[in-house]
Amino acid sequence: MVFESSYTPAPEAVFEVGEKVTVIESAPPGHRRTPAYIRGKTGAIERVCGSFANPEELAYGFNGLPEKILYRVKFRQVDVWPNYQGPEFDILEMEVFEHWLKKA
Amino acid sequence: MDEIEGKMGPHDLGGESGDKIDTVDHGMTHWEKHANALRMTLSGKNLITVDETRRAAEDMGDHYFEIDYFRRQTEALATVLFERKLILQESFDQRMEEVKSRFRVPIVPLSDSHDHDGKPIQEDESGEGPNLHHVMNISMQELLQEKGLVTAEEIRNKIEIFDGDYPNRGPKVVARAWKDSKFREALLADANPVIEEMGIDLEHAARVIVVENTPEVHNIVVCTLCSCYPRVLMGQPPTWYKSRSYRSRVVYEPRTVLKEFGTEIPEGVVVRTHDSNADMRYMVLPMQPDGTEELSEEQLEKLVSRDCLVGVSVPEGVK
Repeated sequence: MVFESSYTPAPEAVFEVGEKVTVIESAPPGHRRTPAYIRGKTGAIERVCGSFANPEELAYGFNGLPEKILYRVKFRQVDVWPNYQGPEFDILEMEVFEHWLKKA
Repeated sequence: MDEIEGKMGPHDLGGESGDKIDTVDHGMTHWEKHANALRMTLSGKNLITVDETRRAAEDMGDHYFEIDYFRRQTEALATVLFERKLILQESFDQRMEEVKSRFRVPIVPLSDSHDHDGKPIQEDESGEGPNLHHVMNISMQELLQEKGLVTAEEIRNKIEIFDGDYPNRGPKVVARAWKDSKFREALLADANPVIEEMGIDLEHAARVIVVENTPEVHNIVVCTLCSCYPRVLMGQPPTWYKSRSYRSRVVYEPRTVLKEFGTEIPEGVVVRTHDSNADMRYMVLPMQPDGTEELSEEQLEKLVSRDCLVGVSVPEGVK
């Protein structure tokens, strides 16, 4: 079986898989898909999901273009929650748009 | 829990302390199914975006938690339709009155001996008219129909597919993956094309990521910001998935939450929590229970509950 990938290509992606990134610590008003609890936390790129219409624009009735590159970022739970009760190898993963990330 | 700084609003729940989770799915009443179908049909036809309805809900402030999930969705939808001028406030108010008046019929008292073979009498039979939010949804639908933007058939079909077809799809995919290792590998690498190859229409909306449970890793899925969920594979999310406590707690105490669902994860196993917050939708591929190798795909499907696909439970036989 040979399938074409369902991910949209993102050749211009700034970060690569495995690279360490920090979520930008900022609290601008407006519709954002980056939960407050993850801002300022550091993890590593798990995969590049592709380019997607920007939800921060779609939310106000605009077309969301240009598209933004979306990543899945993998965090150690102990890096997200200083008081995490579980083992230190537990993981949290979520999607973060490129403009919310900086090189760690 | 530690206080989270810079919360965006009442919807930004990840990390809040919350109550014990009510793990029972309370299902949906007819008006909720209708509300859901209307919103999904409109976003499917690109007349609105889910991003707009999310934003309209978030903008409610304290009102967000004063009303339940489908009432919130209904009010958010109305806001967006007004913003887009697909419906005018004046015609909407007028239509609301008309719809209400249609239900002003005499209530016939039921005798004490009236029952439905011992089953409880449904809300629609109480003699009272529809609730305010159902009237809102009926009014929105009628006004959009009159503009030729949507048909009653489309809404009906959406209600039916949510009840009938969507919830059966996830278990089919899992059963196939348990039977066919090549399929499983392709599914884990890039789920959409292989699922569509099975004849399942993902409606271009959902990018599916399938995450695999193994003896070393257990996956669990949550959406802290709203209720992102692979509806075209699993139907409408259960009540608890949309609840304040599930959305608040899973990200910082997944093992405690799992215990409340009766699922104990061994100490050496990694718990991998997925906060589904943007364009991907997640389905868990559970481990096949021991001793089921000889079963057919049809028999295997029946072992796969919706809760297993979210990762709060595991199929019987491997607990």
